[in-house]
Amino acid sequence: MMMNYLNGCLLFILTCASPVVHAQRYASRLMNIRFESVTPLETIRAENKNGVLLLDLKSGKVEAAVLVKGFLFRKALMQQHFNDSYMESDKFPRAIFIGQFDPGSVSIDKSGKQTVLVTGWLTIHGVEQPHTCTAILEFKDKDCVAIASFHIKPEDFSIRIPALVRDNINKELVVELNSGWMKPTN
Amino acid sequence: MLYGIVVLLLGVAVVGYYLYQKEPASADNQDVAFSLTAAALLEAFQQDEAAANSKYLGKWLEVRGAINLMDAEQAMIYLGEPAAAASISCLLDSGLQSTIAVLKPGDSVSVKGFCSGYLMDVQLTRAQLLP
Repeated sequence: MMMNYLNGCLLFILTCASPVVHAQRYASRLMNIRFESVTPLETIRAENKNGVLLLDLKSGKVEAAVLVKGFLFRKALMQQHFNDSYMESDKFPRAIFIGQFDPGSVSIDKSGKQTVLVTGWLTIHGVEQPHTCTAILEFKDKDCVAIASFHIKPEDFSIRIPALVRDNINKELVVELNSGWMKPTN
Repeated sequence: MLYGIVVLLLGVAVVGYYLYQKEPASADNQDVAFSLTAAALLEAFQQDEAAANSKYLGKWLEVRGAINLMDAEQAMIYLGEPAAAASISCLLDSGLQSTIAVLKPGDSVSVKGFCSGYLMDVQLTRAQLLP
């Protein structure tokens, strides 16, 4: 599946090079991804600025991916535990979402924020789970920005957190994605 | 005796607190595991990602190449062939934005960074420019 994804990306880039009249595809390789866990004991935040987002307005297809080792924490120990113990990022370097929205629910000519429901599959720590979230799209002179926010439970992805520190980490992490302004790629 | 135990516990607490508060290591004090060109690194991942992951993933690398794209605001530079679909992306350590202000596409540079893997580009984070 990983290889399919990357081949898809390459194909996407290649087809983007061909001149087409209508703007309908967008790509970002500077998608910002943050997650946060707040408990009375500890606040954990991490950020990754190197996420990849592919968005096709015509088909309604969305692909988002991020490298787990690219998340930066304020504290070295958190970063180490996140990679070594929880996410096992040597074994599972990527987190991926592949989803679909109703292309009829988005109009590039409409101003202001448009909310779309995206359903698909989220793969974290090598575990694939169905995932649905709302995303907000906004257009300005054909440029597009995509924002999404959702919750995930570590246990849903077979991420084992020792009982000793379980209360330090919220049962649900808040994840926020922001693509930044993207130019149409065709 | 009691005094000794108190001092010992205090010492443990201080060391523990220090370790807990410690920030992720910057590139400064890291030994470079591999030194190679941007083209060689990209080719390694494109040829056999699993093999490249086991060799380079999570390692500090020194990568030489020409800048093909840059985003000073995001502190990002990309090394590779002009207009290539895939490059080596280098996210500079926070506070180092100014060091890339003098650079422009086409310039050859040497970058030290932490390899976080392959996702369209080979990604280096916590990077810094080497003289």
